[in-house]
Amino acid sequence: MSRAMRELILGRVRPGAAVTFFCLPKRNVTKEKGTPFAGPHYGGFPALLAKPGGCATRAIRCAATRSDSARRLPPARLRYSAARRGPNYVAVFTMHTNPYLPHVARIVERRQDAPTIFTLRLAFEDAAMQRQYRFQPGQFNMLYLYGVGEVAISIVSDPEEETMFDHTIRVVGRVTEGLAKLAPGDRVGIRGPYGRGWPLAAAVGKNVLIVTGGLGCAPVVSVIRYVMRRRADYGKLTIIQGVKHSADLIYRLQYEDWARAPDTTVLIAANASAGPWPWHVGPVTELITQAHVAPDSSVAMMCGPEGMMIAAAKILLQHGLGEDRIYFSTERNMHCALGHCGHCQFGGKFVCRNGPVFDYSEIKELLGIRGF
Amino acid sequence: MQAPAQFLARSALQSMIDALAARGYRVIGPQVRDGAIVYADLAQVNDLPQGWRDAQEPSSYRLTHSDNVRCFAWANGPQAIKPHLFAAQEPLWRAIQTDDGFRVEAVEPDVRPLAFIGVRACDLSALALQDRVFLGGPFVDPYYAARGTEMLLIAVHCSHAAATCFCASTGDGPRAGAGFDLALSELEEGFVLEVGSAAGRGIAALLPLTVASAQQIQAAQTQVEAAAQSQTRTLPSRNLRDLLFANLDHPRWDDVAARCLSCGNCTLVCPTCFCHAESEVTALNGKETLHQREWDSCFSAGHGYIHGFQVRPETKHRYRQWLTHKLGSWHEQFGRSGCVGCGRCIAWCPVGIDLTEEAHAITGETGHDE
Repeated sequence: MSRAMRELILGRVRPGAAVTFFCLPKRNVTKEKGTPFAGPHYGGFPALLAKPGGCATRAIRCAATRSDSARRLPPARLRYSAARRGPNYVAVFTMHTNPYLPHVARIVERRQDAPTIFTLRLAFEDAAMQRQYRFQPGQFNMLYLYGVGEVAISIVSDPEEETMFDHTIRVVGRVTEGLAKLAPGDRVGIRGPYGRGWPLAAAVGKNVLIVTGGLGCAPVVSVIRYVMRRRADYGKLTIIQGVKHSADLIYRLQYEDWARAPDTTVLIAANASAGPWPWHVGPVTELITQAHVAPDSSVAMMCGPEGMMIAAAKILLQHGLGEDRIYFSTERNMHCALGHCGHCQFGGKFVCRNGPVFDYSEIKELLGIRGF
Repeated sequence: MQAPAQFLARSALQSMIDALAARGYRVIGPQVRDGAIVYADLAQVNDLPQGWRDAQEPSSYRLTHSDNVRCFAWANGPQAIKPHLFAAQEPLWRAIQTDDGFRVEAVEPDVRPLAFIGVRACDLSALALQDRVFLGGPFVDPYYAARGTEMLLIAVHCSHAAATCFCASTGDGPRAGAGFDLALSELEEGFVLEVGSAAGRGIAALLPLTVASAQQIQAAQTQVEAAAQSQTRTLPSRNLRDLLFANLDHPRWDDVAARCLSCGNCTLVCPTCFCHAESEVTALNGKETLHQREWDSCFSAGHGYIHGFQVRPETKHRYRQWLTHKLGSWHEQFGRSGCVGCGRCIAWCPVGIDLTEEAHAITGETGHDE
């Protein structure tokens, strides 16, 4: 180990301090045996952090140093970069790579979409963070409302938009009720993005079938907008929306707009209707037959009540669509979004990590079973 | 290369505590408190549970005392070492109001290195599982990681199993196999000592050790085997995932739900359960708010709640979630069963529901591997 490196390590260790990152060759670490690094050891590797306050993790066993560039890297990247250097390199994670911390973002714009639905356009206070922020449609953020708590909300804006990102939120609970009262200029906390989004790369060149039920389903709105902006990359776009009652349909103008787009079909069903209703009356699943799904060249993406999605999936399977071509956006209670807190488990899946988007084959075993 | 086993006289046990303390460790060891054995700060050998035995049965945990000189002649208490790494309640960060919004600061945990004396084999297995949960995924939990810093583990192989123990059938005990720095076998006259790591060797070097005799090594071996043989409960060590998920409609779920109080005791004493809930504690003046987490349970009403919908409304759903996760989907998530055979969920269940009995009834497995 070079003198400079050692000084770096010695220099930054202070009681109570948390240590940042690093990947070092293990052989360099072992050379440190017998040096003035007093204090406890673990598992054959000297603890380079001499005093209480050091933070190299037991499980990962490595040296630690400070690196500003490393601090900005997500942990998975750090581990990956350590692994890439060779089998003798490992990464250390500490308080400076704390995935629990939200980052402050400013509300740039607020739009009321429906009586209980609104959209927040957000930008991180830290301009560099905003520039580096990347996500995929279908992924979500944890939104934090000061003094109240966090809530998982999917991201609806286009991933290529770099100056801000959007969340469309329905008022359903304590946090969302409070978020609804915020105005442009107010701050929220953001952690994310989390989870696995829609298979938009795999769907290139294919027909895209969107099936959604209930009140405006933000996760699929992100797909529709994504495909609209890249119309040439995809085949036919079919949007099927079901509502219980015709009065429940929001975004009516939006649907009419989409219906006018090239090679796009919009089909809407209401179980019951009142007043002028140009669309289908009956269950939304009846529309799937009308959609003329081409099994070999279609991908279905769905969001909404699970009963509706299951019924729709069964019809799509009858039409010959493969199980790995039918995607669900799922929702479960979520606290940490990191795969630690256990709330979002769906059988062996963590919705926050393995989902929220799953293909049918991955989750069919437990779909529709009460209690999962 | 296997180093020859060494021996630490009973009268010299204090030297181990002193050596750890001198090395800067916060020493944690078993003690009797409120009628149970708990892991707490340990300064004196006299504080160890000398002469105490535990008698455990479904819904029953009692300590009895005798003149026996042994300090570790018991199976376990209500908690493994889990609370010392994954705290039952801890602050994660605070948000502080500013002129134009708020800023967020991490609350850094106390990271004084911990040394545990008297860790059980099942607890070491549980620790390895919790490591996978909090350190093994794409996100590393820095709070858990910080407490595990430079931790030193001194195991004591079990010489006495409780009636609720079944670690022999899960393969996790009663002998501690791996993951310790030092391991002790307690005999009347003292301790046979094995070194498990360089850190352990460093501590051993500070102790007045002699070479263990062949009889001592044999006695240590015999008593741990006896502890294994005395276990009557079993759990199949094979992967029960498919069997459990093939039996989601088994009538036994209704049967157990009629007995289960959905109190969550089993999950809170379980050394591998990791569920926790996050919440906010706001200062009265509103200037500052603390974001904290505390253990949660899949038996609580809040665990499966999403806006306007309860995923697990009935006790049956909750018990089924716990058992299919612990013995089933844990395999998918972490590569092994989530049960280490400590039996705590049996003893601390107020109505004495026995996980091994339920697992056998539902899977139809006898528990004896071929």
